[in-house]
Amino acid sequence: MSSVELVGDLDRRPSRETNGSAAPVAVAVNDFSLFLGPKEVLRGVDLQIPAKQFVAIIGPSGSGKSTLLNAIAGFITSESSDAEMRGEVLIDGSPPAERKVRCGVVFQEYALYPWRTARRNIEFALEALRLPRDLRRDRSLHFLRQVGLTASADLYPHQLSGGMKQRVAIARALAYEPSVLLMDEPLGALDALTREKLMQLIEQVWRQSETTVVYITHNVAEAVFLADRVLVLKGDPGEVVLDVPIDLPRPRDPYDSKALRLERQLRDAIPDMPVGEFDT
Amino acid sequence: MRVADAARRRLPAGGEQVPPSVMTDWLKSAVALLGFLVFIGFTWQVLAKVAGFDALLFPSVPALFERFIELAKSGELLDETLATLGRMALGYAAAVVVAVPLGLAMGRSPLLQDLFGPVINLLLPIPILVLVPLFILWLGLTLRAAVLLIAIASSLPIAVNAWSGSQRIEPRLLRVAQSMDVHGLGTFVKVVLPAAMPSILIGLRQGLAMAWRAAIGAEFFSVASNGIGSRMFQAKDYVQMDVILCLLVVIMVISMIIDKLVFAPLEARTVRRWGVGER
Repeated sequence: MSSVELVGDLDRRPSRETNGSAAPVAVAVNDFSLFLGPKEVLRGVDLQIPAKQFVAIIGPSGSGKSTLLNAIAGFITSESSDAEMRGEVLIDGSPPAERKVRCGVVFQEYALYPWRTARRNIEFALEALRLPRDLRRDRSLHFLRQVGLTASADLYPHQLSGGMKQRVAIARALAYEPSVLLMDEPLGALDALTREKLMQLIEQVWRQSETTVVYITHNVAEAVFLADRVLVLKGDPGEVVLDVPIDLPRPRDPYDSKALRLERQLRDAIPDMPVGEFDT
Repeated sequence: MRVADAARRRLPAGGEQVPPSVMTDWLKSAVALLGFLVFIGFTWQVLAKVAGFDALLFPSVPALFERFIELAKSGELLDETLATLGRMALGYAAAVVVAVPLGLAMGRSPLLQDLFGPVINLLLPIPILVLVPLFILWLGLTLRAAVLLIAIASSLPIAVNAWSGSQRIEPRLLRVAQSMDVHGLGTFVKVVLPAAMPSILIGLRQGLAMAWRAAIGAEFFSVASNGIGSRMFQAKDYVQMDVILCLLVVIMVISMIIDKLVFAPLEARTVRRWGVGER
């Protein structure tokens, strides 16, 4: 099946087909609707993500994609806010609050602890894992090496560039050894060059890991480069309107003609998107 | 990696900046205080001599020096200063130990906020010395009364600042901890406390200023029978203007020393090193 054909018959496809074999479902969102106060933010979202799949969720701002991620992460609960939820979110079969598997989170604004150096930020995850002190240093340096930041181990976040901060944040999330990694527009605050480099880094570390990734972005090129599968959310209220498998071989080239064509077709196929809502 | 190099090059520059800036800070404050005293002294001397004010009420600057040396030599100055500082240390330490955790907890717990918020907001605008008559009747003219007064006075700004600092923590910082199953005391120590540090430091400074006021005030109202404040009050009865002025300068100098010896290094090691600054 070529990628061109795939885009030709874009419609909601059951996720199982996209990943072929019956891998266990890591994240399940079943007929999930969410109201924040009187506003309907998400409507009837259905989503099964098999283990180890890289899923990108794209949509314009206000389409509820970050809200969906926050619900999966367990940051939005019906008790803690004026949120009202229907349906369910399951991580490895459990609601987010009672999940038995580890979840890592990466935010657009890095969310590094300014009082900890790059290395100590990563060690936060190791402390959370209750790793003995003498093992933490080696382990944190291992993850720093993985994101190419060994030289900056002892710098504080305010001494790092945006791209470096996000590398640290990614390393911290990886150090927690999550089975599900949730990324909320991780490259959204970075310039185009840095973004491209980090995109490749994310792809590379993901392939080395056993992690399921839910990746929120409004950038179609990122989604096509990184994901096994792209979900398109339409805003107000947020609904899944497209579910597209990306069958390009890895490692991928963002400027490969197939990728570019797929990207173009995907953008064209997204219904009712105001021009300029997506950047490339 | 070019970005990494650039950042590494930036570090030594920033690292070197800290020690000299602490030193110049010292120098600046010392010069400022000295300049202020010289100016006041000069004006004072002119008024005392030219305008022909009563020497009893406007002692000349050399007379003040003489008195200061006399106070220092007799050991009186040291005794009174230590008496006041001792009370302040007890009260202030109690305030820090109670008010920092309480304020931080209030910012994270609606229950604690509802419980203590109104009380703190009620007490905050009241001059703390209105409590003196109550304390004298309850506790007598005791060390306990003075220390408690100082503790309450300084705990208010400390708690209020810690409270607002912990309320304004970036939610993402808490969510990272939450996502890694770090909760309760772990989050409190590893996230809430350092995140609120800029506000906590402001509170600690304001709290110390309040401790001074409460300590001197308590001594004025004879809750305590010695110390800088009571010596000043006693000097008023004996029209020892020179003693009053000497002690005033002593208070200023000690405040400056505490600021430079305690708060400046504390800031350099925390908020300035972290690049979070005070708001």
